[in-house]
Amino acid sequence: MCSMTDSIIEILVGRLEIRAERPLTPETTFASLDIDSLVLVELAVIIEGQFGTRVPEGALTARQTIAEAAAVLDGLTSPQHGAPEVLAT
Amino acid sequence: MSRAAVVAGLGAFVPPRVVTNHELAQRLDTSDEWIRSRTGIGERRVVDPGVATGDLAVEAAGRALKSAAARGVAGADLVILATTTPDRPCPATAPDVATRLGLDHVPAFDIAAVCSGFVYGLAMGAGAVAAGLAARVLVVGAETFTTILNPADRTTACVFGDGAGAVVLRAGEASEAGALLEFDLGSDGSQAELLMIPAGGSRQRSSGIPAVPEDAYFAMQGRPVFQSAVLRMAASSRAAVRRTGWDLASIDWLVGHQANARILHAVADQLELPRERAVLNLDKVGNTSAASIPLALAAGLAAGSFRVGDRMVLTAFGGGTTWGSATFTWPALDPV
Repeated sequence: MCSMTDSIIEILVGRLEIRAERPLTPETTFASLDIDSLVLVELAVIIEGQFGTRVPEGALTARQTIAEAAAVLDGLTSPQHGAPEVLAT
Repeated sequence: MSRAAVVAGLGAFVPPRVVTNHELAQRLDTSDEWIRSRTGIGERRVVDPGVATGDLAVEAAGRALKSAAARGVAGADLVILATTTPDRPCPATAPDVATRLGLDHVPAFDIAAVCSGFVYGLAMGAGAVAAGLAARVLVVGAETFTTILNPADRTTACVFGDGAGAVVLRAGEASEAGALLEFDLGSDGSQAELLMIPAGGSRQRSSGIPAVPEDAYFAMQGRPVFQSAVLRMAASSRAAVRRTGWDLASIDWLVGHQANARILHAVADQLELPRERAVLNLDKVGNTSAASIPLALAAGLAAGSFRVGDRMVLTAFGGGTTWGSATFTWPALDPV
């Protein structure tokens, strides 16, 4: 089964072509990847496309580990989360 | 066959003065690498003192009229000018442009839909043709966006440039190459604050509170704009393509508003189109707001990229927020 953590790693490496010295793990922080500020927005857009949910501004931050980001995104994509929020408020 | 607006002429103009990323880096906390990696922009054009939007519009529109005349379409009986930077708040810039082009006494008006303005203008022009209000419509997107930028704001000063582009539409048939086929337009006023000049309008003037100087400049919230731009342009393109009866995979060229190379690549990804099909010319001109799509079309025409009959999708997102997409097939045009 593909977890949200696996999805994030796959998007970072496969779609956004993020290169790191060591393999990405759930404990890897975004900040440690030396990515610029738009990569997290690009990640949010791709997650929105794949999971059909809104990812609000600020849901993903550079200080998060991949596992922490996955927990936030799992909360957004869970069935009880309800109707999509207004974009980017 | 239904009456349709057909693209009969295309012209573009950018002011001669080039401002490189290196030049900007001398006065802002930025670098060529920083700007290129985040936006794809290498340089932009900037007007000299005294040059206004109407001046650029006249140049671009004159070329579009010449391009149409070469195909047997002379003049225009309606002028629509999309701009965020009119020559003055009142009156509109379009009547002056029409007069300077020798289009005496034709109806002429401005459209304010920011970066979506050209697609909105095309839709209004196509509607005027379909309704029988006009047989030849000049649609212009023109901006001197650098005149509304805060020179100290890195998020906008690195991105925007000046320029103008125009098309001539004529009455024809939907089956012809160049026929505008379908549109998808929308807006979301709850996002007004994402892209805004807070001062200078009735909201600020009627408050009786003098504006602080920074509020007279255009301000942008980059991250949410990026996110909304990708999602709205992808969804709008999809809607216009579906209404046209095309498959996304059959699209030859995606000509998006030239906001940011990474936005355009992300839109192509969302539509599962190869990124090579997304037309990019912002490396040379930056984001020219309402002028960006006709400038990109003119660059593609000059480069010989498009073949007659190619399936084209135009898509834009801008302040308002507004968005819009259009489908058409590429016509036979000569570079002017």
